[in-house]
Amino acid sequence: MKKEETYKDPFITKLFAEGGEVPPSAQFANRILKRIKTETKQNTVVYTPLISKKAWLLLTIAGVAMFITVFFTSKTQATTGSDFFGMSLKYDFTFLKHMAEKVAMSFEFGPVMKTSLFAMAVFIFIQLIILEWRNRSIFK
Amino acid sequence: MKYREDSFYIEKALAGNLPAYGVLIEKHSMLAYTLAFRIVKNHEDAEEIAQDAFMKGYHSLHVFRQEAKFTTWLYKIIFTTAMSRFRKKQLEYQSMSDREDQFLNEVSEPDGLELLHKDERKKIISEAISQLKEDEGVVLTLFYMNEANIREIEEITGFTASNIKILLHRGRKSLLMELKKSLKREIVDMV
Repeated sequence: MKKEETYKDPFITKLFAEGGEVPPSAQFANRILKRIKTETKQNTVVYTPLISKKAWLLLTIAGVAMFITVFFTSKTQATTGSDFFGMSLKYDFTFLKHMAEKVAMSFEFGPVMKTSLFAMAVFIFIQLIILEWRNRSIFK
Repeated sequence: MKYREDSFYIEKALAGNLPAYGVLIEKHSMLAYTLAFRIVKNHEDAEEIAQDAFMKGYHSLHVFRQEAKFTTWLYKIIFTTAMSRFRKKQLEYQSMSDREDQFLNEVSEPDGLELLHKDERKKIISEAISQLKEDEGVVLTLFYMNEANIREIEEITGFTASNIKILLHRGRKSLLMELKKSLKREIVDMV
């Protein structure tokens, strides 16, 4: 430090104290604060749920309805069956058949197709829950 | 106004108190602006550079919570931005080593400065400082106004310690010469 002091000329120190400063504009600080405020406002993202409460309600109803339709309706008219987690499950898609007939179409799902559709529905449902959870955690 | 330590305002600003950052700006605005002005020698550019640096500072406040010194970081940003802007404008900017050493002889302190009125004196000093080369102006400003040590100036400017010492030496001589010239002009005008 002492070595540095030798560079410090008292006359130059005096000169800088007297005329070294260049003042900024009067509103310098206020302008920056305004810019920060504007920027913060622009960057604020309002949280909007990925799935609205109404949509959740509809999804739940649809899910429950599907579950009931698939697992608990008309065992006698079952077109196919499989052993699922130790339970003997009967899939009854005759209602679809009736619908198809009504629109002059006749189609039938094979066992592989039915399982795939079911798995896909489950995966989509899980994905929706994960997305919603991530969405919430981002805006926490 | 008596200011507190930077960390006090930084903590408050981080807690969402924007006016606290305003106080921090006011605390350092003079030197930040002066530093930018010494390089770009233009009020509009200096204001823009200083404002941008304070904006960047606000977005990086969490960094200064630890060990980093706010002013060193701020002045470094200002110096880098101002220098790059200056270089864009002055393509023929000469590096320090290319310059002719026109100050081989010692320059004495000018006489008659004390006789001038305070405002006139301030004007002459300010003009003389403005005539300094950009790097000399920056190093002298940091050394004499900010009371930064050579290590800090090294950190801000990226110059080596020996370069800084040379700049301090040359800058001092340049300033005294410019001051003498200005005084001469002033005296001629008065006569």
